[in-house]
This record gives sequence, structure tokens and C-alpha cells, in this order.
Amino acid sequence: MKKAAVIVILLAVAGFANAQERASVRSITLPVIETELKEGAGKAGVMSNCGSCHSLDYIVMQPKMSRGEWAASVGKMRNTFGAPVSDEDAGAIASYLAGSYGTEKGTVVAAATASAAEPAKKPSGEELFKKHCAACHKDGGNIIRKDKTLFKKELEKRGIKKAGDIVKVIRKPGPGMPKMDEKALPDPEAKAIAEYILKTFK
Amino acid sequence: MSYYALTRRGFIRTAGALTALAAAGKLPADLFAAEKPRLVRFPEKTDLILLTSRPPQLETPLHFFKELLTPNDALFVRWHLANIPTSVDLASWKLLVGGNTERKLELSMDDLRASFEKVEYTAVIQCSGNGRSFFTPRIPGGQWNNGAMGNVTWAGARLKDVLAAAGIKAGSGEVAFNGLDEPPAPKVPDYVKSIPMDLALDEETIVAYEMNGEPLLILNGFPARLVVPGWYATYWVKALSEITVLSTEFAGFWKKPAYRIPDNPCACVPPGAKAAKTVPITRMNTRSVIVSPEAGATLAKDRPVEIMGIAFAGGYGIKDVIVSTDDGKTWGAAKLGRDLGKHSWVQWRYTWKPGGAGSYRLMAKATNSIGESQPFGRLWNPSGYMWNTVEKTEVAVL
Repeated sequence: MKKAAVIVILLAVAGFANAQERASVRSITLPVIETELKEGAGKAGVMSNCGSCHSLDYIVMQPKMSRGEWAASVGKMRNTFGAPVSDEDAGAIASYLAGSYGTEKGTVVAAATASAAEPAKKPSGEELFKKHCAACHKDGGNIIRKDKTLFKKELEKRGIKKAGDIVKVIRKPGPGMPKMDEKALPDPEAKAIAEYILKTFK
Repeated sequence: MSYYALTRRGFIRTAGALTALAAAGKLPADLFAAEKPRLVRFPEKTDLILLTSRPPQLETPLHFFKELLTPNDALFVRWHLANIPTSVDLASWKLLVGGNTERKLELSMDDLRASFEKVEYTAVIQCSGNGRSFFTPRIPGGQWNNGAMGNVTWAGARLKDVLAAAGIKAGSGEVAFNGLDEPPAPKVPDYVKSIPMDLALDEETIVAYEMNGEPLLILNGFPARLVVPGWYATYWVKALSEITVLSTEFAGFWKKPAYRIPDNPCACVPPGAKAAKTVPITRMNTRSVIVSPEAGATLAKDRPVEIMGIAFAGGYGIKDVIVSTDDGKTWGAAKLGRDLGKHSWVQWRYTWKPGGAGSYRLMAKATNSIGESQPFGRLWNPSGYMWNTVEKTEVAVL
């Protein structure tokens, strides 16, 4: 059985931190520690919806729970903590969690539920951005690493000028950003998101 | 740097011991499903067990409890909200004291240190959910083993003195505490807790600015935190920024519906049931934990073993700790160590000479000075708080 979670400790920009005591200021830099989730339909939705508020190890450390218990967890996030998750996404998230971290077997059920929940018509770049990116990159910002925004000047400083450059980052992101491969986000969709970003955040 | 060997469910390592135990049918069904703990080193901390990284929840490996005082860099970490303070400038930090008071105060660290008498004592700090992973049926939440606790000498100003400086107006009921941590999203409730006025005016409730003689670590609430000895650490608000005297009852999320226990003497319900009526969690129950040997240890027969552990009692002092090495059939009294006061834990030691080879279950049961003790059966509550069941530590003698 594959190990469920692979931990990659990524160094924050300032380096693995020691406390700094400079006169009156005391500060630390927190390490960014990623938790890899199991493959399964709906994984990307979990990463972007849940990962915006807390690290994904919250999921991995739980005991295996039933579909009902996972659905209740998702409900708690939406109702008690105000997580901005649509009904459709909530269903897909609960299915993924029940399938991959639940007492039920297999992700087949999860796949069926997730694809049934997907809209029939092709989503726009804006809709895809809202679904996969906006949780952390709302209005072009970055709630995980405040300096890595999506604004034109910031992107150009990092050599990101064309849609293809953005897709590269989506496929191979920096610390703190969930990786989205072609299964999680097919090429045409990634390109649409990239074009939306270039067009919107000047 | 020493590595911690205890797994989530007390994994037994030695092949010989495994065979013996399997043959005896004593292995729990989910033993091999356990994952090894992940050790991480956060700033100002030593290697601790990672539960979550954002916000950080880090558990202390059991062996650190061989020290009477838990070293600062080994003390557990638990924040609720992802936006924790990572930088504080004492030149500009102010502790605001206000609400239903005569005056509003803005205290700097210099003010806090110079204007109020400094008191110091040792007290156990324990998360409400310490031991949650041991409940069956399992309960979602932070999956702590026994590492969400520590024994620390705290120093700071009496909250009662700080409130007196502000002048409590008539009609005040509770006092609320807010810290520098902030919610990750607009609708997530900020972490604010309240305590009743009589507890706020208790001599022992302090605004602490030192842990074991040093300024607080950032991850443990620098520059100041509330310390409410004898009560679970949910009340010990970190990185204090505001103290507010209330004239109405506090109704924040983190008091209701969070952090509540069934309203009955055992604070328990049948496993899996809901609690009809709840009250806020408050005082700690009595606990003992075996620190050494650890679960899964292999010991040589005919050599004396010093079983060592800790015990604490929610503010009343430990009367005795009894130890069994034969699965509860017979018990002997452990020798108690140095007494650092009623809020500190006490270490205990019990010398055991194992007989033949085989597996043994070690148990320890503490009783406090008012007769509170530990149950043998697993008392269950829906949130997985207040775990204090007599635990069984399985060791192999070869």
C-alpha cells in the first residue's frame, strides 16, 4: 500500500528560520510544509477550497470517517466557519474525502459523483479561476505568500509574460501552492485560466 | 538530537515481541494501520511531532516528560487560526484593557513588568483535546497522543492587579480575552475566550510574560498570554492584545458551541451519542501518564526496571499514584517526586523486576487530594476532551 502522505519540507524564502531578536522586534518565519493528498476525482477542488484556510494535513490526520461524517465536516466548514464553497463543490469535496480518507472503499463512487456534479457547458477562464485559484488568489493577491501576486508587474519581474509561462507555474508551483497536473486541470482549462489572469490583473 | 520512536498507536517494533504478542492474540486490529509520526523543527523549537502546519499544531515527544519542567523549545504548540502573529515589536505592542471599566489602559511590556507585582509558579498546561486519538470510537479533531501538555514555570502580573488598575465598574460579569491571531477568512470567528469574574480576580490567574525564566516563545504566545492554572489551556489565550470587562454574558463561538462538555458528573455520554445539555469545559481532571518505558519497549528479564511517569490533578495536589504490572490484578504504590505546588505535575517512580519473558501491560492510576481519580473504562464525549482513562502501556520482556 502506498504511503498515504508524502511530506516535502520546502524552505521559505528567508530560509529555515531561527528566531531573530533585533532590538525590540522578535520574529520568526514559518516553514511551508506541504501534505500530498491521495489521487482521486475531486482532489483539486479539495486542495483549493480547503487549502485556502488551513494546511491539508488536517485532512490526513483524521481517523477514517464515513461519508456522513465527512459531509458533516464539510458542512461545519461552510455553515460554522463560513467557507465560501458552492453546493456543487461541497458534494464533490465530501465524495473525495469519503472515497480517499473514508471507511468506504474505492474512489469509483467519488468519480461518478464528481463528474455528475460538473456543469455540462465549457466553463470560462473566469469561472475556472474562481473555482481553482480564487480561494488563495482573490483579486489577484496571494494569501499564502503575500509578495507572490498575479499583477502584471510582479509576474514580469519573475519572467512570466505569456499564458504558457503561467501554465508552467500551475504545473510546477512554488512552496505553498498545490500542484495541479493535467488530470486535475486539463491543458485547455489551464490555458484559459492563464489568459484570464493576464487579461484581468494589470 | 534524539529521535522519538513512539508511533500514533504505540507500534510494537521487535519481531520477537510481535510474534509472541500475535500468538497470544493481544494485538489490536488497527495496530499496523498506524503511520509513523513526522518530526519537524519549527522556529525556536526542537524536533516536535507535526499534526498540522498551518496553523501550527506540534506535539511534544513523550521522552521530554522525563524532565520535571518541560524545556521551552519542546513545549507543544496549538493555534486555532491560520494567521498567527510571527513578528511582534515590543516598542509598539500594547495590551488594551477596557470595556466596563473606569479607565482604559494601554500597557506596554515595560508597564506590565514594572507597574505590577511579578508572581511566579509552576503549572501544567494541557490542551482540552490531549489524548483525543485514544478515544474509541474515534473522534475528528486534533489527533493528539499525550503530547499536548507540559509543565512550565510561568511568571507575570496578576490579572486581578491589572483589572484593579483599570477599575472594574459595577455590573461586570465576565472578562474576555483576544489575541493577535486572526481568522483566515472573513466569516471565521476570531479566537476570543472569556472567564467568569471570580476566576479573573483569583490570585493565581496571571498575564504571563515568562516561561521557565525566559520571555515567551513566539509559538507559545509572545509577548504575553493568559495563564489560568488548573483549567484547560483553551482559556490560556496567547499573544494577548485586548482584555475586555463585560457587563453582559459572553456569547462568542469559542465558548458556544465550541469547547463544551456534557453537563453531568462524568462529562460523558454513551460512545457515539450526542450530549443533550452541555457546559463550557473548565477544570482539568486527574491524570497520570507512564513516560518510561514507552509502549513497545523490550526489556531484559531479571533486571529491575524503573517505571517512571507524571501525574497532575487540576489544582488539588496528587495524593498517590498506584502502579500495576500484571494487567490490573495487583497494585503497588509509586514513590512521588518533588512537589512544586498544586498546579505542577509530580513525577513518580516504581521499581519493577519482571518475572519471565512475555508481554506485560503496565498501568498507573493517580488520585488527588480530594479523591478524584481516573476511570478504568473509556468515558466518551462527542468532542474528545478530558481524556484521563487509566492507560495500558504494553512492553515485551525477552
